[in-house]
Amino acid sequence: MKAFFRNLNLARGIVLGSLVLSLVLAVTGFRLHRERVALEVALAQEVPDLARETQVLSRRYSMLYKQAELEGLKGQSDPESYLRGLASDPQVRLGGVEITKPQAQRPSKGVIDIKYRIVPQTRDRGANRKNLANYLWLIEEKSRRVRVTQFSMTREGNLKPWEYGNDLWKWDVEVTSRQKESEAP
Amino acid sequence: MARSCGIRIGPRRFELVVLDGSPKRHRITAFHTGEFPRGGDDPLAEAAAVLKAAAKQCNVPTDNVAIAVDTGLAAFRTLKMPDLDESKIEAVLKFEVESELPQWNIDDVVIDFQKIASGSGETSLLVSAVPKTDIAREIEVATRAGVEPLEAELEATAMINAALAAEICHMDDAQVLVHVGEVSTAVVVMDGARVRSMRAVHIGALSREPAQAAPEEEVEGAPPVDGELVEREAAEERERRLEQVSSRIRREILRTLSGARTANAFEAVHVCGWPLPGLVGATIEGVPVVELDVFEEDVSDAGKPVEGAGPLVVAYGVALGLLGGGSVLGRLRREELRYTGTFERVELPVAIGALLLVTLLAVFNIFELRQVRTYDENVNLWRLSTNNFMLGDMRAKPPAPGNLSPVPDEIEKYIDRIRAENEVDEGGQNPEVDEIRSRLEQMQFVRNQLRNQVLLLDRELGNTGEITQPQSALEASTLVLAVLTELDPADGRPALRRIDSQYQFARTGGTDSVQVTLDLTFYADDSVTATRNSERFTQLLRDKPWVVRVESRGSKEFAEGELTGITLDGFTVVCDLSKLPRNAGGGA
Repeated sequence: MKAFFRNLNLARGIVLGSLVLSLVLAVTGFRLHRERVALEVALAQEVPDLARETQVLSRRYSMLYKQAELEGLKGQSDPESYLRGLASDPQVRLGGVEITKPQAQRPSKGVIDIKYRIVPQTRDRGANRKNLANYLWLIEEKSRRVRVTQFSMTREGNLKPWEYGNDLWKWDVEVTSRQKESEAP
Repeated sequence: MARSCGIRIGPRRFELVVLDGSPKRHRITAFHTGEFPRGGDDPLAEAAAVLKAAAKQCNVPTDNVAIAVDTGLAAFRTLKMPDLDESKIEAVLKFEVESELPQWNIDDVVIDFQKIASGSGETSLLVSAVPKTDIAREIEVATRAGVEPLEAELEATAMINAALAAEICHMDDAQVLVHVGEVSTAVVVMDGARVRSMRAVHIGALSREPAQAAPEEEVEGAPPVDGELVEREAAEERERRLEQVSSRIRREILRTLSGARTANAFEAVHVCGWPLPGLVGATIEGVPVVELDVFEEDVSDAGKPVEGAGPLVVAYGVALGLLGGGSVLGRLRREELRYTGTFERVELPVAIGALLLVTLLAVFNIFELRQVRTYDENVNLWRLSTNNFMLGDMRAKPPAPGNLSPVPDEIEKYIDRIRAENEVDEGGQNPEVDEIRSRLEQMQFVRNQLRNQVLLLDRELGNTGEITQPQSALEASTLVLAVLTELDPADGRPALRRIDSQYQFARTGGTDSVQVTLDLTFYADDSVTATRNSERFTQLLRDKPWVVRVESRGSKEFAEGELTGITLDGFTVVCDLSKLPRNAGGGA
């Protein structure tokens, strides 16, 4: 190597300069090549998928946002008001309802069921079947976070089995909201 | 035109010849003979100084120099080997010849070889071995003189090349080539223009020279010495000794001629080197001894060395070898100069190759850069299209509203920021370049932000799927009651008196279910028809995929006036709503 520099001439200078330049160009070229291949591969599959996914997500976001706007029971902040509010809906008109203190059960590890029992304030008076059905339907329709997990309806009055009734029913309902234990209030 | 310089470095003298031209057509541009000083403190440095001066005087091309060393330094052996190519011979030669050279350690000598005959699957090699230290000394002299040799060879091989180039050796005769050196004489037998044998006779023109006497101090009172008389006596003594050397060499030539087994008759003995009295012009065994004249008759600019040309033959042969002439290669620097010598010869092609490499890489870079820009622009088109889809394109006619409503704060802030960082171009387009993100990364960033927002909303709405809400008692009872409508009205009508629907959490190994308990009355014309109707209801329920089982406690008949039929109390249907086929909308 020492002899190489001692006898440095034009040819050797060109060799030396070219080697340094080649090294730089090789590194740059390799990086550009890698970038180009990555872009080429991405354009073939990833970018169209990314665009499609973004478009689907934007539509889904808009839809979910609307749902969230309409959600009656947000974050279990005040479920009793939610349930009472539905009972006074014009399509329901059940009048006053009693909601017992929420009871929590752990059906499995990390999961908690919060149960609300709803009964009419005047238990000896029946409610119209249609109104009652609307109430149960609205409870599930207005919120994705609750389910009617128990309900019973019995005809009003002391009727024989073959006797027709007046379509008024005594009722009680149990509503359950299932949550992760960490999210429970 | 290529220039080369051959130097013979002997123990006492040196000769150099500078050639200009090609192997076929060349001329001697300079030559020089000189004598190394004797008796100094640093003979190597003094010899180098003399050689340097001569090189400068002759304008020697320092990058194309080779030397020839005294043949007497070498030992010659003839070796038979299987017919192999040169690279394989080189690989095994040292091992093969080691036992033939007991006087030296094989690692201390340079081994060279010439093929002298081949056939019948065998190759005869003339192997020469020279101690590395001896070659190193001669090379050191040349290197210090500023003329580092690319190669070194023996006087004998240089002489052969000179003779072959001068077409002295023919296919139909044989010759003995003799180079008389200072302390040794090289004798080569050529047969049919091929080397037959080579040896060194350890006697040269100066072998019997009397030792240099120290200058005598003048003794007071002694008679003055007559200088002319002393010189004449010394000249006579030298003449007598040269004649002795000449006689000895003639005897060696005689021995060579007698012992040689050549296919062709000897044409002549060609002698070069130190002139010896009575040698050229003699006849030995009927073979004339002539001067080895390798120089052309027509005189070049520098001129053929008319007088005393014999000593220059070896240097001429060396210079000729550098130009590519001659067929006998001497390669005594093969071990130390194999790579440096090779590089010097190929540095120009290497330089051109390196420039080509740079050009190639530059072109490659340009192409890749253009491709990258094109692909990046294509990615940007996808990004713009996606943004237009999300945010809308207010410049379109009619303006297209976006599908992302409302735009989440994180995305809006990000897009506002990159728009603020860039200026609108002439076409009214904001390039939206992000300094820290590529186009693809910009798309990924917006997608990730959107994903996070969707996930937040899913969590808020309980859509994450991490928690499965319990099965709906309302849905199960609605499904069961809907089966009643499938009954034929002609068979009577059912009436519901009580319904109780209860979600049941799965027991170990089971699945969630909903138990629906009904009190029913089936009216009909008679109890048989009513029973059939209830059985039909039971069967229809059992046919449903979401029904796990149906349990009935039995029925009671009744006949009250015009009303007949049966009553069912505690009619139980267990449903598993996970088996309920659902369409994309989620309904039953």
